[in-house]
Amino acid sequence: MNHKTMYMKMFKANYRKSLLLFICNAFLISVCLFFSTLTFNNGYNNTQAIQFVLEQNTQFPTGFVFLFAVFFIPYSHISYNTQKEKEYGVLETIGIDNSSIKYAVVLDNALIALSTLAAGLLLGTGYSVLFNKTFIKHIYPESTAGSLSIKGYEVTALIIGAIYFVTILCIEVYISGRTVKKLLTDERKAKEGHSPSKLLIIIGSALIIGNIFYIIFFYNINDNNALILCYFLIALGMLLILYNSLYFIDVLREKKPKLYYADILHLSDLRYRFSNNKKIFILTICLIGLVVYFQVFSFAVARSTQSYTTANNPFHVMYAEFSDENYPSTEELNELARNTDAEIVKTAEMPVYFDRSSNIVVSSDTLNKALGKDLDIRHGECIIYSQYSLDDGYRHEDKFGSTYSIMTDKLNLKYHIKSVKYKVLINKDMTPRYCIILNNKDYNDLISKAEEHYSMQYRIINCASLKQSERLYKTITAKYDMDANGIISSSKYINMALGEHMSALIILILSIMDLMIFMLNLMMIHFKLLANMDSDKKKYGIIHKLGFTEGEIKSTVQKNINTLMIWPVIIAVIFGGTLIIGVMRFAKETWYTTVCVIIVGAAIIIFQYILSCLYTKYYTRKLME
Amino acid sequence: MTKLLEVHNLKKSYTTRNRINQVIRGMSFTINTGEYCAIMGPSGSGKTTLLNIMAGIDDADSGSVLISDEDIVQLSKSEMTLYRRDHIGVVYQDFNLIDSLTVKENIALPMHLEMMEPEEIDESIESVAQQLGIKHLLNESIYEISGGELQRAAICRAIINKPDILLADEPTGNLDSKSTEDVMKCFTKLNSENGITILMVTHDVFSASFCKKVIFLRDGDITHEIERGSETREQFYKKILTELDVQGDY
Repeated sequence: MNHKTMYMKMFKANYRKSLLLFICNAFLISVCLFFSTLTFNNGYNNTQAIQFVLEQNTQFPTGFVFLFAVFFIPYSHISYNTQKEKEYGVLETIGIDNSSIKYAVVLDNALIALSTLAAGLLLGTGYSVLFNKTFIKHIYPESTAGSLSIKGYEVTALIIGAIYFVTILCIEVYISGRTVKKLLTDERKAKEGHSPSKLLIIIGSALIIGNIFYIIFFYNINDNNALILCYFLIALGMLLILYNSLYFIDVLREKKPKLYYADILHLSDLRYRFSNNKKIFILTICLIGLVVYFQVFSFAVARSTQSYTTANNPFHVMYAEFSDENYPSTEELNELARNTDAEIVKTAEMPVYFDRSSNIVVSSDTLNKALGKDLDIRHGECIIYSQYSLDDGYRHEDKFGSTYSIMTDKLNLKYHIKSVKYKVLINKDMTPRYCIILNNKDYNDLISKAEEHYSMQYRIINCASLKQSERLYKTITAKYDMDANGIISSSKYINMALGEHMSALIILILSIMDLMIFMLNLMMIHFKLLANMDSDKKKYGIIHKLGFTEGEIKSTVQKNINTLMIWPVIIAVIFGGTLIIGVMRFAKETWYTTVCVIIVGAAIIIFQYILSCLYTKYYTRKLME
Repeated sequence: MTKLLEVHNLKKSYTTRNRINQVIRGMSFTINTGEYCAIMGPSGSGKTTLLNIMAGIDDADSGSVLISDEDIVQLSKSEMTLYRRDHIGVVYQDFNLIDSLTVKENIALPMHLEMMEPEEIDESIESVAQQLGIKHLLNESIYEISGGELQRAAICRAIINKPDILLADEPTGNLDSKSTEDVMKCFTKLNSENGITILMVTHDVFSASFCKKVIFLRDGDITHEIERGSETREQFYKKILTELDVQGDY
């Protein structure tokens, strides 16, 4: 048997491990390709809504999955090679030189890397095509978005290729530095770890409770630094508790020895192998915390988008009429409404002046008449309506002096600001910033002196229902070719539909990302458990010989797996949940977000528990083989 | 003396891809309460298989193994596990101690399975550890003590629940001569002072010379057995060597 045959036999013997590595990494690469395709695909540019949503929501997930790949690919390959170290040691003892072994290791890993990259790109193409042909086509039937983006492939192949190159290089260097003795020795030793400190646990708990309390009840959205500091302190508190959690086991052993000894295998495992598992514990908290955050964020954003759209569109239909254009009169509008089965319940005209700052200026008389207000403004004064609510969840830093100036080529008129009101007065499409309300005389004076083309009339229409308003809006814009003439117009129905589509797309993209993070986390835990399989097999073999029944072993395995799969998830739900509740508090969605956190958190914990039970079955079966 | 272990017409074979390997061929023997017996034989004679069947770790094809009149061959897997927990103590060549537990916790493990009170557990552990000379090592990690000490810890664990019989599979196979002597003295002490019945599988003539009886196996069957009687250990050592020489096993 020559070297080649021997390596082939070894490869065959490790086929299952190689296959697992292949499947996990191919999946990860496909996720990377999917997100980079979303980020770099120019085909989405033809649909403004998709482009907007993707621009806003895919950069982070894309960056995140690539960052995850930077950690996971080397981790999985190192775990894979660690399991084979003993074989390499045996080969060296029988006289195969180190360079031959290095060659075999590099070849083994490179072959897996290449096949994984190819399979991942193929699988990712499948996801992208499926995504475009189903979800995007369903939500945006008018979209012509393509599925393939050469740049997406280039970026994915380049980054993943670089990760593989560095990983294999490191493994090669690592194998070179290992002596035969080290390769053959099982270096896994039980570590008792440092002495836990009660004081640090108290400090950690105080940091967590205090900061969560602050975020939920006192946090100001405008204070980003405070939020970052809070989460840094919460993370610090968690680390302090985690790193000193052995204290609880010590206390249990001292105060309740019966309880401790009743669960000695699990607790001793926690105690002695905690240092072995704490990295994966913390990583799981971070990953699942992100899942909770983004999943709840997508639901909360969907809801706030709906209320935001409703608040920003007080009227069903609005459009601008210029004095030199031919627009339908009220009678003609009623006729159009009858033809489109729509019932107009309110219509009003409101002459406005557009100033150089893109704000609209309106007279108090027309405004009172059109919108049913009762504003009283004296000569030389104005009231400013900001087109937003102060507590709409966004940061507003507008500052007003004591006067407002309207400047033209010929004029520089100043008005004393009587008051500033933060309320959407007319549809936001019609005036993006402020409405300046003047005394009737001042307004007429302005119009008489100002350039004519800055003056226009806003038409306001409300129908009996939103659906009717859509039909009427489409008929008017088509009949008077408003899009082609560049006339600004606004339809509440269309804005709400657009908001719903955008929300659906955000929920979809973030759900896909969350699902993938969830699966990647499971893969990571699987690799961790797989790396421990041999020592666990030995350990459970011993305790079975001692008289532990299969049921007792299964129960211990379940507890050990729960330690990795359930507890970090519970902490992650609390951590991610409080973060998103804090963030959404100023969008007036605290309760809705809290309910979402409870539902999403419970769903994740239950799902993880089911997975943990299934995994325990699988793991116990493997242990008993 | 009462009969504690009765092996009757025990048979066991392993089927490999091409052939059937008959490891135990209708073996029968009896061990009385308080006996201290070694089973010797060349590699492949069926020593470890026999011990594994008696410990309930392996199944027999046919025959019976009666321990205190209970035929363990007829027990189901889970019944056997519970029976082993209560009635049999086993010591292995590679100690089989759990590395995440301290020496004390390893010894205590079988008692926790029985849900005993912590005070009772502590008392028992201190007593057996004192007897086997490892009391000062109870709180140590198993990485911090020598092979002989590890094996004595494993013996403590095997006897902590006061089993009917203590089975030992090459208990000195991984030990140096000094540790071997220490471990064998422990077995002798347990047998003479505590009256524990010990059945030990070994290759090592020196270890076997501590026993009161040696059963010789060859090709899955008993060839003959010898008793120590009133001979000293050194005399019995020479007698075993002579027997092996006659049989041509060594």
